[in-house]
Amino acid sequence: MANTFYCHIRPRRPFDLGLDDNHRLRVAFNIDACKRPSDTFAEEILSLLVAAGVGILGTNLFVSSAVTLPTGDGPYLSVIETPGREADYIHNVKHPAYDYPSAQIVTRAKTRGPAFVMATAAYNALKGVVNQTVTF
Amino acid sequence: MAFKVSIRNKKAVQGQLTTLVKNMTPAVQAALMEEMKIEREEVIRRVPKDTTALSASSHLIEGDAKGRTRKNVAAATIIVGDDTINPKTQQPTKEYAAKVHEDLEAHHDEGQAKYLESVLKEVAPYMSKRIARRLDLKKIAGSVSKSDEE
Repeated sequence: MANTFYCHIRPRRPFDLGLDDNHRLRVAFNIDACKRPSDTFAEEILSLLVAAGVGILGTNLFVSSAVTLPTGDGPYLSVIETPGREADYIHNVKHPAYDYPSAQIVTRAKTRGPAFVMATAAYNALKGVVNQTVTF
Repeated sequence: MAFKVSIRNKKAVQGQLTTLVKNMTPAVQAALMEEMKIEREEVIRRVPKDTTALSASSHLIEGDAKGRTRKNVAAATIIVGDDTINPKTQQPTKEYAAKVHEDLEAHHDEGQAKYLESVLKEVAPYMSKRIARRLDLKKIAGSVSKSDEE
């Protein structure tokens, strides 16, 4: 179990991303974070979503674009890491002090309602993260 | 220990600073446009190329996406997507550029999603230094002296 300090997470508003291969509506939003370095950014985001009651890991919450999502009606949520900003260094420390990773959160469901409800719940769970230690 | 600083001819100094600020914004704007031309080339390199319509629809403009500028603010915008028609789908690029940008699940033989955001995030920490390097301070200072003489 690891603890990572987050300065903040900045989510942008969810938007309609169109249909996936199974004709389910995708609703997505992007997030930018400022945090202490760790190799488990996407997992930390998922742990925040689990703690906020957005879903259950492995059942309707998934990580990365490599995972095979269920073919059901959903809603399902996946966290996909996207290009972030370069890290910040501080005086006399060899390794980065702060990372600025980004990710895209995508929900999908057969109808618009559940996809937007889940995306909004995830958005609300992440928008309040300021000066918070996240445990994964 | 005492340290005394006095400014003589305060009006002239104020005048010089005002002229410097006035001349600085166009100089920064010109430097920003030069740097953004380089970044636009990188954006074009990363735009998915199923057809060349999307990359052909990229523009670099001064100000925000609607071309609006603000006094004493240097700004530039790279736009991808306009009325250019995709020859395969007959769809204007402005109708699908954002979706192609955001869809991480689409497969592209050439190019990638986040073709604009990835470039701008990479360049953001260095842009101010790059602009500063392009500024010809002698020229700007020269214009101060010149306006001083006027």
